[in-house]
Amino acid sequence: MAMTERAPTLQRPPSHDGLGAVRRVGFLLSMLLLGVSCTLAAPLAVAAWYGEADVIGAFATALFLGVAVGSAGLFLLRTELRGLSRRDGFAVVALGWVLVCLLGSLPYVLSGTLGPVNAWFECTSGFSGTGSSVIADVEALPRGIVFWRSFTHWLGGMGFVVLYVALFPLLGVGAMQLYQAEAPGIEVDRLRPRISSTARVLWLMYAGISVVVTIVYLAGGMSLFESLCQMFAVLGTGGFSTRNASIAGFDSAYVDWTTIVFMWICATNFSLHWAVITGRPGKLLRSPEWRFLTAAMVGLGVIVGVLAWTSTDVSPGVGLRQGIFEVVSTASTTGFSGADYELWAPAAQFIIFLLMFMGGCAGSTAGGMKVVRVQLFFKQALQGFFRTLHPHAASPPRLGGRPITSRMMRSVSTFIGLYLFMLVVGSAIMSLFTMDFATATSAVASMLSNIGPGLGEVGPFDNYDWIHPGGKLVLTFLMLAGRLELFTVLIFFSPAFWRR
Amino acid sequence: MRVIVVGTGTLGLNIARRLSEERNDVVMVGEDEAALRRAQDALDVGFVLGKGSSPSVLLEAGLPATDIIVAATGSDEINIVACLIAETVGTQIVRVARIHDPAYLGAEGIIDQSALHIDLVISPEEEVADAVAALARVPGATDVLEFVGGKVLAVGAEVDARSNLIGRPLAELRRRAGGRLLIAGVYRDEMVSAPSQDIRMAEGDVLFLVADRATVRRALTGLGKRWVRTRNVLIAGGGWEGVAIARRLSADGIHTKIIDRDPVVCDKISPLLDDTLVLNGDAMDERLLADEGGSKADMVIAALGDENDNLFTALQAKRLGARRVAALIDTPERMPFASTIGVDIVLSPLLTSLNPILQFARRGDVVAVQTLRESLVEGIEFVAVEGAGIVGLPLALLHMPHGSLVGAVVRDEEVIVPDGSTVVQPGDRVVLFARPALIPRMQRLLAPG
Repeated sequence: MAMTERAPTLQRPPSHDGLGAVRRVGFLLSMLLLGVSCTLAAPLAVAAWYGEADVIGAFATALFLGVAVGSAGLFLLRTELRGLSRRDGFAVVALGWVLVCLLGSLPYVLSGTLGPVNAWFECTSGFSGTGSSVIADVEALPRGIVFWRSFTHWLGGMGFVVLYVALFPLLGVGAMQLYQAEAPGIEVDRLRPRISSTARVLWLMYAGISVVVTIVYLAGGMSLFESLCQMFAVLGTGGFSTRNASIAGFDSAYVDWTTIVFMWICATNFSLHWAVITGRPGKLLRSPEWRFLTAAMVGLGVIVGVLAWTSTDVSPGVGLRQGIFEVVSTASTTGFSGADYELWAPAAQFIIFLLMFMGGCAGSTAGGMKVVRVQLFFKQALQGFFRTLHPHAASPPRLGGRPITSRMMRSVSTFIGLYLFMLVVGSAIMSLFTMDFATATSAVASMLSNIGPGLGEVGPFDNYDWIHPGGKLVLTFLMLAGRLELFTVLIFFSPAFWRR
Repeated sequence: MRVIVVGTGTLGLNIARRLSEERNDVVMVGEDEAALRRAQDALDVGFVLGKGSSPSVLLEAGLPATDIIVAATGSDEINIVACLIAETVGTQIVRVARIHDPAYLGAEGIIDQSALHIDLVISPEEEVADAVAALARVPGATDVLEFVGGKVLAVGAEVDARSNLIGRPLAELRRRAGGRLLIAGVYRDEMVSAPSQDIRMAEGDVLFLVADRATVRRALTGLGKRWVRTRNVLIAGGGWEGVAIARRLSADGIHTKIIDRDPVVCDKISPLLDDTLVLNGDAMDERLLADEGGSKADMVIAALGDENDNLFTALQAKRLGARRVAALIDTPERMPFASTIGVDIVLSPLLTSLNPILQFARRGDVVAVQTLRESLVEGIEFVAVEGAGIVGLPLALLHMPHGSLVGAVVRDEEVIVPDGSTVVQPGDRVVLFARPALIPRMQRLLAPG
C-alpha cells in the first residue's frame, strides 16, 4: 500500500532504533517542560502583585529550573521529528504529564506550603482536573500559591499537549499520535481537516468560554482573583476552590446557578459547541450524548434535590438547588461542593456515587467513563436481547443514526473492563491503608473519574491529608490513569510496548 | 488552501499527501472507509464517507468554502459530475478532473474540456506520453524535464562504464561540456547529494544536470553515452498509457510497435494508431520480443497493467540488448528498487500527473511544476515579477534553504547558468529546484507579499 511513510530523501530513513525513539521523545518532553515552565510566570506575577516575597522566590526558582532543563534538553537532543510513532506518542504524553506534575509541585515545596508527597498530590490533582485536596485552610495560603493551584486545572483541562499540537504545526503527522494519546474520547472528532487546526480551534473556544465565565462571576460580585480561580476550576472541571467551604462558601444562589450552567457546558462535547458557533445548533440538540447527559442531570438532579429537601432542614428551593448542584457537579466530574451530601438520605448519596462512573461527554474537559461509552454499553446489552428474539436480524445497532461498529464496541468493552479492574484493585490496595469500604471505593472511583470528593471519610467537606503517603501516591497514579483514559498510562505495563 | 479530493485510489491519495505536506486543508471523499481512515491518520486530512457525485456529500465536505476540487476517482463520469456540482456551488472553485476517455476531451466532437467546465484535466496517460517524448529527444538520459519550451533541460544520466571521466571530479564534466552546465545533484545508493569538490564520478552514479540542449549533449557524451537519435520504440501493453505513448511518438516521427496479449484490445486500438504496428502476443515472451526487434530497439517501454510484469518485461528487454528500457511504476517504494536492478527509466503516470495540480497551488506566475525521481526534487518554472523575493539580489544573498537551488535563468532567449553572483531581474524565467517539503517556505521568492 502506497501510504506508509515513505523514506525521506536527503538522509537515511528513520529507523525504529531505540536510540532514535529516546531522542525524539526526549526532545518533545523538553519542549513540553519548557512551555509549561513559562506558564509559571502567571502565578509569579500574581505573587508579585500581592507582594508575597517567599512565594515569588519559589516560583522564580521553579521557572528557572524548568527553563534550564527544558532548554538543555532541546539543545542536546535536537533531532528531526519525522516518523513519530504511536508508541512515541504515548511515551511523550504519559512521561510528559509526570514531568509536568513534578515541575508543578516545586512551588509548593519551595515555598514551604506542602511537603513533597503532599505537593505532588495537590499538583497532580490540579492538572488532572480531580480537585481533591490535602489543604485544610485554603484561605490562609498565599495568593500566588492559590492561583497556581487553580491554574493547573485550566492548563490540564483542555490539555497542554493539545495546546502544544495547536501551537507547533511542525509536528505534522506526529501531531495525530500526541493528540490521540492525551485527548479523551473513542474517536478523534476533527473540527478541521488538519489536527493542528482542530487543536487550535478547541483552545480558542476554551479561551473564549473562559473569558465569558470570568465576566459572569465578576458580575456576580466576586473579586477578580476569585473569579479567575473559580473559572479555572470550572473550565477544567477540576474542583479546587478559593474558599474552604468550596462553592458553599460563597453562599450565593447566583454563584450556584451560574456554576451549574457552566459545569454543564464544560462537560459537553466541544465539537458541539463548535457546531453551535458555526451556525449548526441542530447538531447539539440532536446529539444523543448531550441529550442523555442533560436528561440525567435534570432528572436525577430533581430527584436528589427532593431527597435533600426532605432529609434535611432546608427549604424546597434551596434543597432543589443543592441537589441539582451536586448532581451536575458529580456528573460533570468537577467536584465542587455546594452542600454536605453526607447528611442527605442514603438514596441521594447512592445516586451521586453512581454518577461518579458515568462522567461527562467525550471531547469535553470532564472525566469519567464518558456518556457515549455508557450509552454504547447499554445499547450492546439491549441488542443482545433483541438478537435473542430475532437471530436473523441484519441491521446493526445505531446511536444517533450512525451504525455502531464492532470496532467501537470492542473499544468500549475494553475500557469499561479496565476501569472496573482498576476500581477493584485500587480499592483493595486502599483498604490495605486501613480505609473503610465506602471511603476506599468512592475515593478510587473519584480519582479514576477525576471528580474530587467521595463518600465516607473523603466526603465533600473532608480532605485527603489524613491518608498515608503510600496511599496518596496510589491515588495520584489513579488520577493520571483516569485523566489519560487508562490506555496511555497502562500501556507501559504491557510487554508488547517494550518489544522492538 | 482548502482542497477536496474525491477518490481514494493511488492518484487521490498521492494528491492528498502532497497537498497536505504543503500545509493545505484537505478533505477526502470516497466510499472506502478503511482507506479513508488510514489516510486521515497517515496524511493528516479530514474525510467524508460517501459518493463523490452526491451533492449532499460534497456539501458536507465543505464545498462552498473550498478553493480546489480534485476529482480523481477511477470513473470519468463521477469526476465530471463532481466538477459540475462544484461549478454550480461556486464558479470560483478550481475544478480538476481525471479523465481517461478521449471522447470527453473532444476526440469525437460535441463535448470537450471547456464544454464540461473543467479547468484542468489530469490525464496520466498524456503526462507519461509527454515524459516519454521528452526522453526520446535526449538519447542516453534516464530522466528528462523540459523547461522554457525546451530551452532548458534538467536531465538525469547514469555514468556509463565506457565513460573516461570515471574517478574524476565533477568540475571536469563541466569543462568537457563547455562550461555552461549546472550539476544539481548526484544520486547514489538511493540518496541525492548536493555536488561538491570531493565527489568522484563512479559507474552507476546518476548525475542531474541543468543546461541547454547542446551542452547536455556534450555532457552525456562525456558520461559515455552515445548520442544516437531515437528511431525505434517498442511498447508492451495496449492500455490507455501504451496507446497514448504510441500516438505521441508516432507523431514525432518515431517508428513504434505496440504489443498486447488480448486480441480484442488489439482490434480496439488499431484504428486509433495509424502509424503504429499493433502486435498480438505476450510481451513477456522472450522470443516475440527478439523477433520484433527488441534487441535493436532504442527504447522499450513496459506499460502493462501490472507493475511487476513491467519490471520483468523491462529487464528482459535490457538483457536482449535494448538501448534504454522503461517501466511504468506507480508505487513510490518500488521506484528506487527498479533503478537498482537495472531498469533505466522509471515512469510514474500518476505521480507526474500531480504536477499540474501543484502548479495551481503555487503562488506567483508559475508556468510549470515537474518532479524528478519519485518526487525527491520538484522543479518549478516561473516568471519573476517585480517585488518577488528572488528579484534584485545576488542569489548567494537570498538565504535559500539547504537543498534548494536555482537551476537556470532565461533572459531574452538566452539561457544563463547561474552562480552566487547572478541577479534575477523582473521578466526573467527562472527554473528552481527544491525538495517538496521546502516549497512552502520558499513561496516568498516566487511572488510579492
